[in-house]
Amino acid sequence: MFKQKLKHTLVVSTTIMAIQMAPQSFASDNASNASYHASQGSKYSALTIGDSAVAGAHVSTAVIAIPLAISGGLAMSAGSASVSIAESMMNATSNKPLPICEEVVIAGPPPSESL
Amino acid sequence: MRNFLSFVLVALSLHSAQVQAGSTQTGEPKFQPKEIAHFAKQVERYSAAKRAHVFVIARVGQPQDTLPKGVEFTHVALAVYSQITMANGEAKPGYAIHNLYQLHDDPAKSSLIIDYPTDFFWAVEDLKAGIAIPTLAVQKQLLEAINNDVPSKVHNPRYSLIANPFNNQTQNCTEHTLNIINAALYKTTNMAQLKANTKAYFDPQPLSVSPFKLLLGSVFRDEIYKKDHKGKVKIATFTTIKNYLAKHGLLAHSAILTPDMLSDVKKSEEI
Repeated sequence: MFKQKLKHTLVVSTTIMAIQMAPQSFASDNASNASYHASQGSKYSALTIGDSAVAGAHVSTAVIAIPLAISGGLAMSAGSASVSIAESMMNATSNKPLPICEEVVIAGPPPSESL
Repeated sequence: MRNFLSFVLVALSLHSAQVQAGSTQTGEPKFQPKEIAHFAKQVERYSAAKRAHVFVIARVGQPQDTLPKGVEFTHVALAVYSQITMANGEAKPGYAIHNLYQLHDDPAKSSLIIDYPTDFFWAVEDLKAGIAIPTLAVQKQLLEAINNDVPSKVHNPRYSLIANPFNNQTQNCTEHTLNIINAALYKTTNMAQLKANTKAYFDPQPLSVSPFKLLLGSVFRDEIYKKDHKGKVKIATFTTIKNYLAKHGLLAHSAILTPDMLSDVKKSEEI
């Protein structure tokens, strides 16, 4: 009887230890799922409505992002999908900051939700 | 016995819930949305001031004191200066972030997803970003690689949180980022070649988690796969990628950005 109890206690203890000691400290931080995408709507609301809203800035939902090419002696390869914009803005030898839009941009819902 | 099994199942589900709490993409924001959006925009402006077209970006998704020694960030991706077309048809310049994200409903799998700085920092534990900007020549090669769909070509959807960067059995966000960098540098997507070069020149971070904990983790969590490691577990991190670029003369600038530092860019901590 005692042996059985001891065995049971040991099994339970080991399991609890296993659960507690699994490398939780290394929890993943890059999960993506449907609920994340579905939450884009609530994210938009959080950014635009109420006290937590971003004052004085538009919030926009992105549809697509196309990398911009580096110009000024570093030409992109032929057939590149990158978009070239004015040399004055993108010249690799310039010291001016690259232009950044004022909008707060967030990703849209996944394609499956557009059906 | 039935009671015991029930206990185990309940305990495991509780553990799972705790683990997911650290999975910031699915969590609630810990900061005011306007603070997150402001910080994200500050990081963009800082990087734009450095004229960065492509750079490595990292965030913190769980309390610093819970991270293993040597691991400062929990998610790494590439930020790419892009023309972003909005839902209203307008096109504006900004950074798009090219991520490998673990699937929530299938933790041992991942997919490639583009989001934007406010999305990226939405559920972080700290408003803190790691950035590593490669030299312009490397950025040009990275852009070419991205335009040639290299990120997909070097993606292995079999996910492990502690993926070994020296082989392609499993992959995490950091290893994928390293794969893209090496594929761009060597102009190849031949995985055997990429891994041989990584082994020769990249110094990974040994993981200071006890073998017992790792063993238990690999038993209880699908996304912790230990079999691709021989001996001590070593992983790619933001810092080891930054060091790799620096060691080989491929790093133009790196910094750890926080709101305080960004309020006075001169305070930005050079690393």
